[in-house]
Amino acid sequence: MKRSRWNDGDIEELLRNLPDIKDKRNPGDIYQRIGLREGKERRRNWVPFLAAVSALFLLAVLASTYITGQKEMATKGENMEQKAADNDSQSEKAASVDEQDPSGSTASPEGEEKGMTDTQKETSELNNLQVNKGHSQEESKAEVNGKKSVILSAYSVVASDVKSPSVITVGVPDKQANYVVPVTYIAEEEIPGGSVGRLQKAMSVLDEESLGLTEYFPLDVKMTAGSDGRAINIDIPKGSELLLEDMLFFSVLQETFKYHGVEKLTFSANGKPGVEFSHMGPLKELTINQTDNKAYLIYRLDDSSPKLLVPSNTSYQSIDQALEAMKNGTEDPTILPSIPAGFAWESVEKEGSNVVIELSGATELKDNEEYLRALEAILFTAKNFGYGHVEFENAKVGTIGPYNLKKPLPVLVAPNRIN
Amino acid sequence: MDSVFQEIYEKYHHHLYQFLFYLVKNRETAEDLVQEVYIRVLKSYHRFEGKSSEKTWLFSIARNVAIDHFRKQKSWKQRLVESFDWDRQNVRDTCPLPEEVALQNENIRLVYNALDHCTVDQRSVTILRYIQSLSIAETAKVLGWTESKVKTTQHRALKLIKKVMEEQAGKEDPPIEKVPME
Repeated sequence: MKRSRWNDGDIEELLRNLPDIKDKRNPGDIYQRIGLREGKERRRNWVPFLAAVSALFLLAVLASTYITGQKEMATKGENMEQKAADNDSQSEKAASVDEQDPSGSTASPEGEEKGMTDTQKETSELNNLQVNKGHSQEESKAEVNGKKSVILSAYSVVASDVKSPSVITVGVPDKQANYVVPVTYIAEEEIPGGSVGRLQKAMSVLDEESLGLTEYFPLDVKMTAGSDGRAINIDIPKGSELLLEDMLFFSVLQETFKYHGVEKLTFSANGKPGVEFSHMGPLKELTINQTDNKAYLIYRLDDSSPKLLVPSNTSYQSIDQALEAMKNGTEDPTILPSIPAGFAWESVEKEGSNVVIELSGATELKDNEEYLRALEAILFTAKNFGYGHVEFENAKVGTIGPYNLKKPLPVLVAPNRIN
Repeated sequence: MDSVFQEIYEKYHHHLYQFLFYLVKNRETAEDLVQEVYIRVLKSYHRFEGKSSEKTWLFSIARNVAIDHFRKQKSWKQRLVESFDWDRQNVRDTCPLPEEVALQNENIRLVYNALDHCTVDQRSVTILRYIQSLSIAETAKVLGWTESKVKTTQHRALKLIKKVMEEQAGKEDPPIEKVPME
């Protein structure tokens, strides 16, 4: 140790000798700054208060418009029903056409369905479909009283404001198990068990045979939803057939959960994570691709079966290519083109989240079943490429079914409504 | 200009500024803090009843302003640093040496830097006692302490400063001196 260089007195002396540090500003300057600071602080106190007041005000305004809006919807819906009861088919049609835009999404499902029927009586095919649906007509009437905000078109679930849990889509394999057809079931009553419970209920009530599809459900698996609803665990028992036919099983899962907003599936065997599939090998999880760039075609097993929209097996690089493919059939006699040959366009442009289709001059759109399906197929294909709206330019017909071609059409919620 | 402000400015501005500067060792911060002292003083001057001397009252306000400043600073910056580095010992921003200090001899610079190693309490006592030349009694009033607490804190501060200075001076010495001759 070195001897200390300093004693306490030295240190005290050094401290006393520390230099003077002066504030170089002049007093006027300082005084002005104090004034500014004080003013600022006082104002700052007002800011959160004002923000809170204006937020409350906004909330009140929004809430009141929402509440009155709901009332209007309710009364409109009732009017629609009355009109329908009057059997004035002409006015019904007009009404159903008026109500297509999603902002005024108030049409009653029943009114629309009747309106559709009127426009398409000439097609015998549709009558078949109506028969198929007929049994549920009474039920859906009951539903109308409960839920006014659901808009249904003839074949698909449209409204962006559909109470989402009530719409359940299930992917079902076709007869040859080459394609998976998404079909949508609308729950009319509360189903216990959350999203998984609803899905299992839909799988159990589904009559695959009547739709010309393979008897596939219910599945011998146990599904449990994650806390946020974006992930679902599927527990597969040992020796399940699903392990052997895993590729089809994966297509069914993809075509089912795509429409439910589920992003990821996890697999477990008797509670243990990870499952050994015969083709895919060991697998713990599967990502659901919401935009898998498929083209929507039409599936129909035979003359007595309904027509259903079905996504292609191939993915396409661009929506242009997908739309082209929708005009051509496939070698499979049950998979038909969804867009009629007369439906032609000059260009397909992307504008942000919109697709703009400029129709060619020769295209004569018709307000009938064939073009309605084509339109819905286009809307789903656009959705599959991640777009939000489809706009038609040069359309000579104002509306097809419930869709107003003069406005950008929002993509659809779920295809092939079966009840 | 406010007469209260003028009076305080003339009598005490230099002392308050210097006190704050040696506490925070940063000119701009000291400037901001001295303004804050004025704001608080102008707000509560009417409540000053002359129970204590004006000088000790003003210094106690300045000290509170500085402590609030340290607290605020700690709330975002130092807490973050601390949460990552538990071995850290009161590391401070390395502010450049003010020219007034830089012009002084080496020992003064050593004392100036050694102050960084003191706690806020130790630094307050040291500045009030030696730079502001306050008595033990006055210092006790400013800090709201007993006189004996002032004395012990002052004693510990001096010991610490000496120790730090010796360490620092040792580092700067040529290494050959450190080699034992045995």
